Amino acid sequence: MRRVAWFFAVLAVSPVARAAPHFAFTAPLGTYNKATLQAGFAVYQAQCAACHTISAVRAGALADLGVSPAAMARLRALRPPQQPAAPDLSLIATALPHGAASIVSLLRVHHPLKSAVMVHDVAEFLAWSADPTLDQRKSIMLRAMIYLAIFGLIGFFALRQDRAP
Amino acid sequence: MTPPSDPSAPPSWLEQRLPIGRMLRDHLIFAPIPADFSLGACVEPLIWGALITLTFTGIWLGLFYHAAPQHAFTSLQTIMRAVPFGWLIRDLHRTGVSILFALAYLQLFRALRLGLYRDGRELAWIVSLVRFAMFLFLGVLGFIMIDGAASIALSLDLAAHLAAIPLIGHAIAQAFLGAASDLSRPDLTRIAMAHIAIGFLLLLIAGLTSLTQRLAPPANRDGLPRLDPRDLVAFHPYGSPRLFAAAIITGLIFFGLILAAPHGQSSRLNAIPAGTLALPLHLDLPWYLLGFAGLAQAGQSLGGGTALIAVVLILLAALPWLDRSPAAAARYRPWHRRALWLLAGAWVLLSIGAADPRGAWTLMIDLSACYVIAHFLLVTPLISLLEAPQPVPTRLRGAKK
Repeated sequence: MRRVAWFFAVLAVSPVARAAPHFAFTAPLGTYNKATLQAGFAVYQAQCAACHTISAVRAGALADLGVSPAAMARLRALRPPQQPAAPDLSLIATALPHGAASIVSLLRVHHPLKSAVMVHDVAEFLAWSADPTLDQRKSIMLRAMIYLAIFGLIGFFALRQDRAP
Repeated sequence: MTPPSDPSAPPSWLEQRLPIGRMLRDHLIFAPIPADFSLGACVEPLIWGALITLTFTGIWLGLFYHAAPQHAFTSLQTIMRAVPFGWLIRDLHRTGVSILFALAYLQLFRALRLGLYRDGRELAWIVSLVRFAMFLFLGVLGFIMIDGAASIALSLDLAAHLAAIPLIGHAIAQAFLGAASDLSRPDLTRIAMAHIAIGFLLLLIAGLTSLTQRLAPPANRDGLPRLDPRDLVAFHPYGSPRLFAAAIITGLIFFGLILAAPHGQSSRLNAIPAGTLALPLHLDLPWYLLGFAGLAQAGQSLGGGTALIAVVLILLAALPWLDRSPAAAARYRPWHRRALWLLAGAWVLLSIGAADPRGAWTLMIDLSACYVIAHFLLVTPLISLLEAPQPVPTRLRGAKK
């Protein structure tokens, strides 16, 4: 039995398993899935929030995600009164070497949640809490690059026109 | 486009009192450039572009940054999340640093290849080295300002290295890092002040670099000490399309890096706030500091590491007097050219090794550091004395008319 557990533990942290969960936002132009983030928030609230805070996340950002004021009040009520012993999870996805995929492998090994979907959703939610402006950044930067490329082509040939034939 | 000087047109009110238009035309738009103006020659103006980007984003970040332990890390999160477009300003600043260092390393290597440190350009070369050393120091200070776990590791390491300098070291460590010299949290107020003050001072040094380069013989790909007047052309329209293209390509790489990898340049450990319980076991440095971290490690001790970094910078400054060859450009000196590529390779190995110094890499770091020192102290003088260079033309070879 222990051998089987070891096998799964090794498999879970192996690169193959790390690559297994699909996160669309890790692609160069991929974005977060809002439904996944909402489900992930629910998992976080139910399973993690009793010990772990996400103090860097703004209430406004959660509201934009579709979290109701009642849910946020419940979240605040869950907060332990003293300084929590468990680490804050706001930036955990940035701190781990493979981001959301590392969260998935850690949860599989150390804290077996019942469903793989829950693990996936809460990992995407924690990735969002570490980098909530990812969608905005990608869309603005893509538009800036397209603009720059067109401006560059026009400007390059306009400048060359002044050259004597 | 108006010609360089049109004597018939009456100057405007402002122009009579401050001839800024004439200065722009004579020294920028229609400035004489070598006819072989290449993409490599665009690196110097692009460094200015990066510096201006960093200055303005830095001022904006400084408005919201709270330079105090416990607050610095939180204030950066506020910038990223609550300040309108704060994430964009910070990404422009931290990715801009990578662009600046990529350009600065390219400029150094180009200067070594073309011999842009000799034949009347010695002062411009030394001022540009001072500028490069300031880039490094500002990069370190900015990295410490993030106030993450990797920042505190770097500040403690830097304080230890500075304190190892005899006589003045401890005072310098105290002045810049405050309490960090006593193995505790760095004094962020001083570090932020130094970052801002030296940042503005850097603009002055960068201006001095441009001035000395403008007064020195024009940099050209044949390393000629003086150019035939027929080899000089006006910047516009002969150089401007190329500089514009170089700026656009750099901008596309810049924005692409922000899009794909905004965290790429910084340490992951800096996502953990600095604290006495979060001391990393090894330094996790941005790529542009790795070569110098490798030198520091090859020094075998704190004082040795500091000395080795100082020696390499001093040897670079002494290069005009170490290189005795009649030809300047590496394209006419086959063995010198090979030695330069070896130097670049040694620097890359030094950087890779310093990122994770374990096992055989410690030996590789020592060997690479040995070559870097030997390249300047032995290889360059010896090759320049022994090697007979190929005949150097008197006029530019690669001129594009």
